[in-house]
Amino acid sequence: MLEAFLSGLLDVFAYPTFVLMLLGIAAGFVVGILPGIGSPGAMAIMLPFIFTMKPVEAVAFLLGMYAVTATTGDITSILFGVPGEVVSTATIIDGHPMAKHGEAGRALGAALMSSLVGAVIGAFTLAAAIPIVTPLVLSFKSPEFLALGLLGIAFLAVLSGESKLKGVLAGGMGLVLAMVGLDPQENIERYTFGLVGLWEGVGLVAALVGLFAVPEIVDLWVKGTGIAETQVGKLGGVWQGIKDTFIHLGLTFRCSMIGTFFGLVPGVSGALSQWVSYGHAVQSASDKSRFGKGDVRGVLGPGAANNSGVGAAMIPTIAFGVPGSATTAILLGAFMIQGLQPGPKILTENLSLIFSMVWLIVVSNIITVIVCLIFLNQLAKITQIRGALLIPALLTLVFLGGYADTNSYLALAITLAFGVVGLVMVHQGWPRPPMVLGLVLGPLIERNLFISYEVYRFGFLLRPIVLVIIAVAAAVLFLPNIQEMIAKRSALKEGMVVADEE
Amino acid sequence: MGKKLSVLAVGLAFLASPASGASVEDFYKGKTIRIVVGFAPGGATDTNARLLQKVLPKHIPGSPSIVVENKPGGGSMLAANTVYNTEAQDGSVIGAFTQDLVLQQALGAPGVRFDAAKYQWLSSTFDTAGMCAARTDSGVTRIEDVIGDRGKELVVSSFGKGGPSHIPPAVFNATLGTRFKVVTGYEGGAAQRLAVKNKEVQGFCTTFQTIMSIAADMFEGPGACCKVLIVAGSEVEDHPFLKGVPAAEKLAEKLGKSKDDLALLRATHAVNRINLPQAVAPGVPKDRVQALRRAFEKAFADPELHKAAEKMKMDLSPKSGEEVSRIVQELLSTPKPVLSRLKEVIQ
Repeated sequence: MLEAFLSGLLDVFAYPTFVLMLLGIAAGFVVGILPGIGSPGAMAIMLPFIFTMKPVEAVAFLLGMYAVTATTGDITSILFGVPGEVVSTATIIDGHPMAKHGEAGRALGAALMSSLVGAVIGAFTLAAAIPIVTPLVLSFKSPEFLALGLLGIAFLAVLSGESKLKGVLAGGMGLVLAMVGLDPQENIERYTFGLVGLWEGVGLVAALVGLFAVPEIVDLWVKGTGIAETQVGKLGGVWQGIKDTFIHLGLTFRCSMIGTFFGLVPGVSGALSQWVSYGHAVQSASDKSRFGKGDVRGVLGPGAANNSGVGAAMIPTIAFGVPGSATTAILLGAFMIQGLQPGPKILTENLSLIFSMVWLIVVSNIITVIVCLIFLNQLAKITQIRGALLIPALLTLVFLGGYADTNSYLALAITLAFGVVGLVMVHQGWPRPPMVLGLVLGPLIERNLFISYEVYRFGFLLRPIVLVIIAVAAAVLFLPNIQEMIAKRSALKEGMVVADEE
Repeated sequence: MGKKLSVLAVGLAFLASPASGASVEDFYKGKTIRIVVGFAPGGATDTNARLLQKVLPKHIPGSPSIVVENKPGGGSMLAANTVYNTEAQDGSVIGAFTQDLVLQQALGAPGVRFDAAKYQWLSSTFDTAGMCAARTDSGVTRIEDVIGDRGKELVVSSFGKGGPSHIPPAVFNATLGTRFKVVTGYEGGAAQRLAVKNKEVQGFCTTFQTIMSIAADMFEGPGACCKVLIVAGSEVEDHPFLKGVPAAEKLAEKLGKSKDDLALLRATHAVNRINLPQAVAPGVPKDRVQALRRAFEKAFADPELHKAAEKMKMDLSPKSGEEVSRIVQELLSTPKPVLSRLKEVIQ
């Protein structure tokens, strides 16, 4: 095992593997930063090049790209309020307000450092989990997936900010929008308006880009200033962000574990874990008042989770052939091209390749973070550029990204429609994260609810893991209220004691 | 025989219009052909297209470059509709979609805006068959164990009605009297197979090609969990996984099933014989279609492609465009009563 661990490392630094990894990182850098254009598209373009490569070279090339997109995607989310990648949407909620307040450097520093910590934790957890991973993954069946979906629902309230009612309604709207398309059981068309392009539902990329980017661009246009409303602070901000990661190391660690866990569960994507991490960051904080307005903890949570999931997501992809995202689906195709059949066998027979993947994720993240730190000040200065100069470039990228979701004008129309929805929501003070969560959770819950009932009838509710997850969901829902009640009571008691003494 | 005929056909075409060879080359020189794939990147249709993307150009007169464009939607129906109706009809756009669409058209499914009979088919990659398998610990070891009133009910996972994971069990139930209970709603083939591995269900149905290329670990080696029960068609391929496994049509004859039952089995099997097809729109000039058909034949015989396919454990069994067209015509001329029964069966 140790031998494979070390030979995996050596393989990463061998020629041409290392060079291919650098090429991949360069591609990932660009793709991650460009809004809308994500890692799946990039990987699809890179795929034909791997036919003549050796497995470790192909993996270096592709994984080098994939491993860094979540990191560089956070940069776009923070600077522009536009998701650089699907998995870096949650970073917007606090990262972008920080940029607006002139704290772009701090937010970027925090995102980069937490990404690195997350990636390292995720990758090494993957390495350590190999012996126990098969029974772990196999213990998750449809009822357990359903329970995870319900856990996500429990976070709706946490993600709603100040207006819980609006949040829950927005979540409900997200769930309804997730129903667009053919129903998964009977293939019945729902809200498709005769458009075949809607059969597979509303594209998440197109929806996210519209929901977040369009309001930001309009806002920038109306203000007529740069993104930063106040002067960007000097270099200090970045180091503060890096320090923040270590001040809140417990949070960063816990969110890394959340990302790892969601990555490990087959078929559940990082699109969900970032929100759960964000919700956890909010809930575990004693002072919640700054969340949504620029709390660095709101950057650290999703920053760590979206990177830690990358390593873990390799397990269901390669050992069970169940990819959790569009990108890992292509990666699975790449494995097939390389003649590596997915299956538990791969974990024993190609162990040094698996460890190479672990090292690739770690090394490419280190390289990326160093490069980013060098250019961070320049990047942060983008927020001072006048809006009129930024808007054309942003608009082009946003609609290009929307179109590229399914290479169709329908995707562009979806981007526009969600843009309008986003504008109205921002204007009326409706929180957008619950709607995104609804969109992500809808298919997960619907599919698994029906399958669970088909296979187990109501027995699915009594499965042990289901009970545990539901208990956690209940805790997420009710613990804040209970804490509040206890706090009130003790305050009341103290008040009474004080009164008695008087 | 097929090859000889096609060589003759090319020869005749050449004699008939001596200038056409040159004009095809002129047309494709410096052009970019787009292969419009009806699915997201990463799946079988996409990988197949990307493999062809590398090998095909040198076999097309004028050596155009080729790009793959993914246009997912409606289980590739969107791509089929678009290539047929709105894309350029000059031979610069090739569609790659699922063969199941031909069956969908025959059944009058909603959303179909093409006529598969008029599509100009270029090739298909595999000649395969639908099949069902059971977990070895399910108590079912042969197809007879699930047949008839005293047969055991076998729960199988499926990822969509009317597709390759649903049609075989539904049709076997209707014709052979098997007792497959199909649970639909799994998100794709990977989730379908995971449900078998984690024992949520006791079996699954798919094409044999899928097993060979992506799920062999379920039938051999340390993770082996399953055994094939039945294969569609009239013959069974010589393969270790299929030792002693009956062919559905033979079994139907043995059980004394009606002609209608056999017709139903045949119609649903036909579609898998043209697995992963490629086609161009009806308006594309005939000489370019011929050139593309021959290019596909040469590409499928190319050692470079074979090397890559071997690495991917793909056992290529390509069909020429003419053969694909013939099978499509046959399928579309399936008698109405058979089709309406099939519609009932898979609903």
